[in-house]
Amino acid sequence: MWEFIKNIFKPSEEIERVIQESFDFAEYQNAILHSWLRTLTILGYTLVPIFFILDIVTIPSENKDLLPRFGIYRLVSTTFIIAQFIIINKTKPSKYSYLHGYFFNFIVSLAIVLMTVDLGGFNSSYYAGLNLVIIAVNILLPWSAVHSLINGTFTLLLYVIANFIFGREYDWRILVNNLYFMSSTVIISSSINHVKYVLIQKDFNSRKSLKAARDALWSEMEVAKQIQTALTPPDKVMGGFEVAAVMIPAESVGGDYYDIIETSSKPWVMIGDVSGHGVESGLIMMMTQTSIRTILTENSAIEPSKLLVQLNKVIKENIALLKVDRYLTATAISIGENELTYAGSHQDLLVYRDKTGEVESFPSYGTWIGVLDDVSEYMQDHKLTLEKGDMVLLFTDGITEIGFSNKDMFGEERLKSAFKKYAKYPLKEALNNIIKEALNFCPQQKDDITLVLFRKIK
Amino acid sequence: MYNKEIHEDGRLKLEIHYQPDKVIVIWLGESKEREPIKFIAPVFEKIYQKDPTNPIILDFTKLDYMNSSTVNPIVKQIEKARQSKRKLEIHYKSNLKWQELSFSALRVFLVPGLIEVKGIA
Repeated sequence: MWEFIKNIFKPSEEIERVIQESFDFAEYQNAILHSWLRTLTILGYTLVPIFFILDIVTIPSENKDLLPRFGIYRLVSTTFIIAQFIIINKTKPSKYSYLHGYFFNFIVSLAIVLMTVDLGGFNSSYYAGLNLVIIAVNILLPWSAVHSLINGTFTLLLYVIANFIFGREYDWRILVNNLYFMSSTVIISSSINHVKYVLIQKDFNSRKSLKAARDALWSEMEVAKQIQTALTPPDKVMGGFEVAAVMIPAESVGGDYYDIIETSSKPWVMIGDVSGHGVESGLIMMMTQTSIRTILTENSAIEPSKLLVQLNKVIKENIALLKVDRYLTATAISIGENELTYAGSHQDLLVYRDKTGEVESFPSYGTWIGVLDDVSEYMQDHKLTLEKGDMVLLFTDGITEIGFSNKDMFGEERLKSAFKKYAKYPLKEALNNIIKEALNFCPQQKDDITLVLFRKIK
Repeated sequence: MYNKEIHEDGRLKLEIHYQPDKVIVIWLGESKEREPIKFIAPVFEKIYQKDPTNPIILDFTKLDYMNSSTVNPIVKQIEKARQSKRKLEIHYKSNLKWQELSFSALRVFLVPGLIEVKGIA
């Protein structure tokens, strides 16, 4: 029952959408006006018949014969209001929605005016009902004070004209009293309406500013995501290795980086993570990608440690120019026939040995990119021998730190277990299963997740 | 002279122990704000005002987690200590993988007798 009542008062999804999303005040105002007209008509078709009880109780005994007529007035006006409620529900907000307010006002006022005429004109106390109508319509509806003034004045004139023409003898002091109260009600309700209307405008403008700020933030995140994902290379077979990768950017974009590069002398695989989040991290990631590819185009036979030393020079200068506090962890790997040469401080390299079915961890060495002017002292090359069927998994902390907010991270050990479990799968399938397992462990992804997997096939 | 101060921001808590011969900054909880420098830098300014000379020990051994953005304010403090010739030690838990990865890389800032980075098992 309660749900039913709530649904009656609840505006349609379309109106709700316009109210939430519109950037145009007129459109927004029409939507809330249309929505609140529903409330007004519900009040109308509830209260107009209920007031018949007042008719029964208060009508003088000599006028008891008027009760059926009053009943008809109330029935007709209630029928019109119900029809209006249905029309409002079936139609969309428009610039003409305000006419419903005028029509409602006219129908209910007319019924009351007719009752005052029947009860003796200006001397009847039923004029008080008109004050209620003026207040209900003009305070409830979110329209400008001009509408309130016109509507209220119209009700007042309808009352005066009808009772002058059809009413009976009256006491002019009662007329002055009634007009005094009705005029005051029109003025007060128009004033309150004006204040409310200004508040609605202010509220709309605040929401508009908030929405603009929110949209700007989202578009910044979208740009960052575009930057991050636009340059990711396709999976490929290079030399004696097949390589595949998966990158899933987080909501706030964490600056993960990877690349798979085929050069004239040897294939390269890179992985890294820029500190911080957002567009700045994305830009640094993009600079890193461009710098590395440029350096390798010039000299693809370069050692990984020297590649990172050169990269550091470029990135350190650019970070200084950007005036941001960022650095980059990165491991550069050049792939030889039976061995990898790697350098740079990032996460461990996980190696699956096909012969034993075990996964080994190899720490990465070196330091971050972009912190010191010269990192040549800290970058050294390390070798790793691979046999046919062996695989190497590179990752960023986005996967191992899944679940940190629940005090239990997925961690490197679980990653190694998952790697071992799916090592025999095709590369892409293995990567997707590893990520699925991590997200099953904790479904909240707080950081970018990047995995690069390669297998020696010859 | 001994007194203790506690500064908190979200889940990160910094306990500052002012001792007669050193200042110990114990990092507790998790640092995962996007710009943790906004909280950390003023805390260190206050430390420099209260005790401008004694060695500072940054103790991360009880820290549960920090994101990559937290490294920047730490590097800033190392640079500041180096410039002002103030002794600074970093203590971290070497058997915690993420701490080893983050803090061992800070060894590039080592200046014997001035800037030390110590992994504690």
